[in-house]
Amino acid sequence: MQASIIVAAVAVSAVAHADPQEAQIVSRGGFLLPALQLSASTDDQAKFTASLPYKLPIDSTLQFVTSARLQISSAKGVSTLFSSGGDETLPWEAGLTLLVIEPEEVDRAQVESRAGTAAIHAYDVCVKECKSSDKCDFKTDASEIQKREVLHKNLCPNGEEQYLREEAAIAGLRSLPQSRVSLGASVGRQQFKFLTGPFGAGDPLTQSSSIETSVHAGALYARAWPLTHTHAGVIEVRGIYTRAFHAASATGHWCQPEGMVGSDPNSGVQQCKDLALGAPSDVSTFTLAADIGIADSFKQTWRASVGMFGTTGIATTADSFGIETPVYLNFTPNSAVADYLGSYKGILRITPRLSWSRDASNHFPTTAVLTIEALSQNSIFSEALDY
Amino acid sequence: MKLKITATTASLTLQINGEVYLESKLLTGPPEVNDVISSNGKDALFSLDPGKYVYDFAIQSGQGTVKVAVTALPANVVLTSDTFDTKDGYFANDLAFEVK
Repeated sequence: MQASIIVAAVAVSAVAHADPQEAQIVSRGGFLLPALQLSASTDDQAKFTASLPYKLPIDSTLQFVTSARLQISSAKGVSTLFSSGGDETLPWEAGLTLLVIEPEEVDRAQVESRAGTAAIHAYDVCVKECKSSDKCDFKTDASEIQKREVLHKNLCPNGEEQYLREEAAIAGLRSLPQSRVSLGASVGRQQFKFLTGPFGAGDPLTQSSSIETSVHAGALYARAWPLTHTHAGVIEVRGIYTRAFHAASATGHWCQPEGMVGSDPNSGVQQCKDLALGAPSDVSTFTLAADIGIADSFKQTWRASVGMFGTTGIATTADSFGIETPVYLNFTPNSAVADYLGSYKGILRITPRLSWSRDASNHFPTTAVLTIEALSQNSIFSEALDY
Repeated sequence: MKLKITATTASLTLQINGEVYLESKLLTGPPEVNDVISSNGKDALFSLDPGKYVYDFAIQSGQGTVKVAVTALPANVVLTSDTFDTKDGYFANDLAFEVK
């Protein structure tokens, strides 16, 4: 009885030893290069965002990145982003995002079998070329392992071309991760100055100011799938809740005497001001958007999409919908910087948008806006708070 | 012997994904170690008996160059290292090393 147990234990041990072991993944945390975004639109909206991403030390095949972000914005054009008036502070928001990146899942056995065969074919092309040469590094009697080891290092030009042509037939996303999920929230302050009433009653108006709290909370899901060996289809869906305040659209204009120039009594100088008539209004909305498009999956040099978005007012009638066609152009290849775990891409994002927003008379007039953004970040994909 | 495979690359998302074979079984298998996945800041740890091995891997989810190194632990002695580039293709990358 005892002998049979020992035999069984030895058999189990032998089977266990025959199974391949699985490597243990150990992650280290580290900072990524800061990401910067400068955005300017033809409707005078502008914003500047700086993010400090940190790769979290989580032992998984997924990548986890958290970012602290600070954004300032202006509704008076990009030139006012860094030079607002002395008595005026720009709206700002600070927040946190989490990004989870899932690499592509591949059938390793199938891919490597086909790629290995391609490598052997490539070597054979070089052997064939060698036949007319006295001195040749490619041996007719090379083993299959020796043939594979030459790959990517010392193939003849025609052999390399042959390999890349055969590898191209193998499906795969190449440079693009399979999916990305991003969540984020930010809170900010916005200062408003305005006149308070009663309006039109002949009573004096009062200059007032208020500081309102804005909120953004969003989620984004992006997925890529191979179309060819150089191109991938990409889809991106994002939802974002916004609590924002809008200044009253009607403004009051008034002037006060400030003396005269020299001694000319006809040269009276006036200082004039414009302020909104009434306190700002809370315009909370929820936006859902989806883009579908194509990206260069071999070198990540460009991505182009077409998408739709819809916004609904939560307690108002601030409804709108529209279409957008964002194009990403990557001008810089990956470049390593010591002590950081990632790299910059220098990306230009050009987004034409057509939108229709409900007005006071319940009509939907058309608005066309072009947004141009300079993005220094590590991906041609957006994140949750990239609104 | 305990070993570590590391990938050093500029890309946040690029990873290498493969298996370690005995050199004599590279084409016939099975592998000695599965799921040998590494990226910048993420290492793969495993143990092997003395012998000649090949790390057979694909580059995924990023583009550019990646330096792959096999290091013996706990002494942190680099057994071999080489640099691979996605412009030469993403698949069928081999790095041979010997455990003594």
